[in-house]
Amino acid sequence: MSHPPATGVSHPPATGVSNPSATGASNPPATGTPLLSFDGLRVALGPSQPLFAVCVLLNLVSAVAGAAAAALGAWAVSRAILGAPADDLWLPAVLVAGCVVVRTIAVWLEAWLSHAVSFQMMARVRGWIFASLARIAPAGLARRRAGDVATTTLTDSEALEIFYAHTSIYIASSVVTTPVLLAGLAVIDPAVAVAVAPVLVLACVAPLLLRRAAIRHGQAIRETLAELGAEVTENVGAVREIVGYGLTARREERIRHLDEKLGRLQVANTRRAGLETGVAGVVATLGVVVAGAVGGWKVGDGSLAPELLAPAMTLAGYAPSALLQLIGVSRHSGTTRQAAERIAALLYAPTPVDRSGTGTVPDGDTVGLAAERVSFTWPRAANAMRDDAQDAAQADTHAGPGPDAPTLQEIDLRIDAGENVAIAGRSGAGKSTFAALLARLADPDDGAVLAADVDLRELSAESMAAAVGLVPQDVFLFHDTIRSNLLLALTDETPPEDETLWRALETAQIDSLVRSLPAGLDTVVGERGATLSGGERQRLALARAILSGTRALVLDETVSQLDVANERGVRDALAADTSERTTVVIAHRLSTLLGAERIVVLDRGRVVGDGTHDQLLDSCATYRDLVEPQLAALRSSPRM
Amino acid sequence: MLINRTVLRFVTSARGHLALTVLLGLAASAAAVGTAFALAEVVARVLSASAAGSDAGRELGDALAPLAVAAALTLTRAGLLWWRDQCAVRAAIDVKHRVRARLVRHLFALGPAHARRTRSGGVQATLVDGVEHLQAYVGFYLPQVVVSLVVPATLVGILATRDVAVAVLVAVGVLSVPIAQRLWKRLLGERADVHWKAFESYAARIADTLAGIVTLISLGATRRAGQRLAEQAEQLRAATSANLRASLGVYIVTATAMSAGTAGATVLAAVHAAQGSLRPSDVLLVLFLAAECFRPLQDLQTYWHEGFYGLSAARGIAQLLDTPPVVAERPDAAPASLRTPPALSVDDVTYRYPGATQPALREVSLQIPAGSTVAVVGPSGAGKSTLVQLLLRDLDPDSGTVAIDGHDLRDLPLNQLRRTTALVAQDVVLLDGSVWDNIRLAAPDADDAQIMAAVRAARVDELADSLPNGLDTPVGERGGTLSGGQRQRVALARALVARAPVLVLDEATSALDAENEALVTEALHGPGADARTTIVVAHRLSTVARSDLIVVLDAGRVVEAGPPAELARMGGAWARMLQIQRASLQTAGAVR
Repeated sequence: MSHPPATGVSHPPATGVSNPSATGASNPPATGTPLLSFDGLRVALGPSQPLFAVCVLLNLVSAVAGAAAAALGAWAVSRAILGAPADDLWLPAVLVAGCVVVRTIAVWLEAWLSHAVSFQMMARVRGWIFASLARIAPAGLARRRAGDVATTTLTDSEALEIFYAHTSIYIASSVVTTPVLLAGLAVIDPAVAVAVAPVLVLACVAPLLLRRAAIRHGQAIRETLAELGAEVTENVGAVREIVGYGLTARREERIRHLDEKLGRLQVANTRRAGLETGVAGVVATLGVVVAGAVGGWKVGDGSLAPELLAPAMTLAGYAPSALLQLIGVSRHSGTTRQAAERIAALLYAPTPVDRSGTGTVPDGDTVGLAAERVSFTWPRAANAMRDDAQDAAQADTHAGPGPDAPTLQEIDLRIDAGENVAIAGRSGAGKSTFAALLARLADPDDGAVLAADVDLRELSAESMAAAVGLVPQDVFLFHDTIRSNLLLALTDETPPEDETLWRALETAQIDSLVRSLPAGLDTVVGERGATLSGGERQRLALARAILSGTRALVLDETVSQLDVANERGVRDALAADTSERTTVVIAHRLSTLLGAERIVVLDRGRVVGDGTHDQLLDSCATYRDLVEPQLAALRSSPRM
Repeated sequence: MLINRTVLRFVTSARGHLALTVLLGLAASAAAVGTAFALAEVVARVLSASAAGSDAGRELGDALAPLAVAAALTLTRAGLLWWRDQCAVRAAIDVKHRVRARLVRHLFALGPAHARRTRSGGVQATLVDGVEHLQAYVGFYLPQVVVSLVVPATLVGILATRDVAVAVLVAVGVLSVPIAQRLWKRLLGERADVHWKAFESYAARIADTLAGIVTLISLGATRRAGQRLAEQAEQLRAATSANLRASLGVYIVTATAMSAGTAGATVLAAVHAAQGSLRPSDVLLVLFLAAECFRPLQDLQTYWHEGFYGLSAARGIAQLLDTPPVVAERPDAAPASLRTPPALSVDDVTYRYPGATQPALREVSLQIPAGSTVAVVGPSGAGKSTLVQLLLRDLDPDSGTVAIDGHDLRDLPLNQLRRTTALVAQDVVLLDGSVWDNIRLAAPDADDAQIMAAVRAARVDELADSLPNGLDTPVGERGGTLSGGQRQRVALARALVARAPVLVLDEATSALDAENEALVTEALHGPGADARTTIVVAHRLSTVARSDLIVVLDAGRVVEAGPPAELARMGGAWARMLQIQRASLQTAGAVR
């Protein structure tokens, strides 16, 4: 089975779906394209462009029909006053009714279609975010947890979707509708149109003049809100400490202080925003007054038919309607801009791990792993993602860059096919980082990591997953059934027999728990696996890795949350499992270390010991320091 | 209308500013109505002059006065709107301030058990963004509700004095907007709900998939997952398209009502004028005034989103405020004199979590002598953490009693109890500040020597060496600069400095490596150990082997309790745990 390249603009994804649907995945804009620009909009719209154009057109139709109905009504009134008999009013009456019907249909269609565009946008923007995260996580997320980034970005994408699907329709329609209405006014009387134009300019210019201040205010307010958010999260997390150590008054005071600062900023902001409200609230009437003055003068002058004065005034009142619509939504422009910046930072982040290789691992039972002079440091702030206080509990950290992510230096190590190796070392020695490199969550800065003597960088994403499977420290389960969570590991279209699933669950010693659940394999695990304990989640993830048939298994503290009996059960079951595989297990616990054929000791990113337990006790001081306390505890307890 | 009782309770505090906001909104509307009268007069004068065929100069001169009035009123309206905004925001800030203060106080009153159960993201959303949504809701939406009730009613009244039929037509238009919205909601209620629910669950699925992206990468499943998301989006779109079309049908009614109301009233007035039943100036008044009847409703519509978010935020706020504390202080609770260290006892305690089918603890009894170190062990789900929470009175037992020095915990003031106990948990949260600040906050009166002693005992000195500014290094938001093990050590030092007579370690050293764990355990048994009663929950046998007493829990019951050596001899559960560990070591030949 050959695998097509996973990414790359020039290679369309080789899927069974030949006709990419309107909501389907699409490539993000070319790197550097400002998202809030015409180009950004064009790419985001993609196949929705015609629908978008229809929305703009409908917006125009509804505005024009509304204005026409009012103007015709005014015309009817004027004719009546000037002495027309009631029978002569049927024409304007019918026209008004027609306009009302047209407007109604246009309004409804626009509401419907713009929701459709909005939905397509949502799918598309989220598709970009998904693709970008898949491209850069976890190494490209600097020190951010993938879960945090996901939460932040999804909130941001809503702002971007609103811009693409609504604001930009209003912008386009302001550009189209306003001249059309002004032209209609010019047909009645060019002088009135010319006089009303500056009023429209005022409506456009006022928000633009105040824009700089708006951005500054918005930013200050958002920063204060972020501070407040961090403060609240801290309070929630540390309720016990705060209550127990008598800090409540002090913490309440801190919140009050931030809240007051926020209030001051908002008052300042309103002094400006109030100007916008004022202008927006009178622009239409101002147009009517100006049209009344000029039109009145023209009527007196004899160059304007008297019955056209009121229609001209009415129309002048309608001329800024599209602009007002736009001002209404531009209140949120600051939020949109910031959201777009954060999303752009994600979309345009460089690719830390290029998964477009096409190589495969030679067929065979199991693969050996090797590190050749591997040096590596987690990249620091690789992109400018906001570091706010999102819920940390939802994180999918894995072996990603943690707060004290260590550096590996010139690691040389061969793990033979079928071997069972434990990696030991103090916290911060680089064990998890090494596991991340073996699973290619990051690429080494120098040297190479090999599976079956093939550089991991040459492998396709699918071959890589088939060769090396990682069960991380912090397991992530999707909010779905146990079955779906297990099947994620499989590429086949046809799901396997239940028996296969149960065998994997048995090996991971979690079968009895799953059997005891009301819906068995079809039980939905709670949000982020929350209904299960840490140990249960680890065992399910282990079952998932076993099911995938991966030929080398990297277990990062996978049994750390199991009690001793369970741990031993898992170990025995893994050993008894007939399919041969290479196992690399990272462990603190003595019993786990002792279960391995060979132990590699890391210290400060270097290999300082390699051998069996007995050999290491004799030769490696780091190892002795590491296990001696546990041995002592055992010796001190009485023999059976 | 979107109104919430809880918010109204807080709104009363800002009623002065809010009343002013409403008045200014009404005044702005009055200015608009005045402008309409003036404009009608302008057109009436121009038309009557042109009908009379008089000269241009006089015509313009006659119209000039009402035109000036219209211009002046328009500018006044702009000023009133600006002023209204200022009042609205001040009122909203006042309300938000009160709501936040109340929420924070309530959060602390709810205590640790609540914090343990809820996701911090939810509380943060309520307290920060939720309260922020109240701004537009309280400042703009609520006053606008009043304005949109008063203004159309008044204007319809004015119109009725001129032409009853026109007034009725406008009234029908105005009324049909809210009625249609309500009716639509009722007719489509469930269908619309289905649509939004499907939409929400799709959004949740995306969030879930994104959050698990590293797992997908490890499994090589990103492309499949991405494709599946796109397919689901398409399915959802197809499934809900018809529904959406129907639920947006309300636009038909509201758009028709507004344009038919204004234009229809105008044409009707024109007909009446042609028939001679309505004076020219009154027809013109209808022309300019009819639209004003709808303006407040339109404004209310533009605030609909604010109202919607405000209301759902208000529900979240009400829900949090209505949550009763899990444990409450008795009104007659009085401080008791406790020994240092105190003894604890658990007598026949049963506890079941709300909604759980099985009790987490059943008929548990247990004596913890003063100054002893007691270890609680057992498999996951045995009830260890529940026992800890009962001992700290984060929870109250369903039956039975937990007592300290013979006093039922429920008879003591919560303050005294919390000063007496200190917990170091598995997931430690540090407060913003330096490492030193975090340790110091537990005992503001402690001198530097005392703090340093705790720093050394918890092995924080060694970790400080690796930090750029030693103990003065900021821990970052929620202690994010430090690793889990480092945070645990800081929390341990903090608990030691507090010199609480009861120290509870709930998997407190789980993230430490074996060497540090042993040193920390050593320190806990070292000098000062007999000044406190210590309760340790741990998986690692090495952590608990030196305890005075071991309590083995299984499935919510105490299976055995006693000194470790005695239990090992008895050959029960503890002995089996030791044996398994020993056997796994023996296979590798470690213990000969």
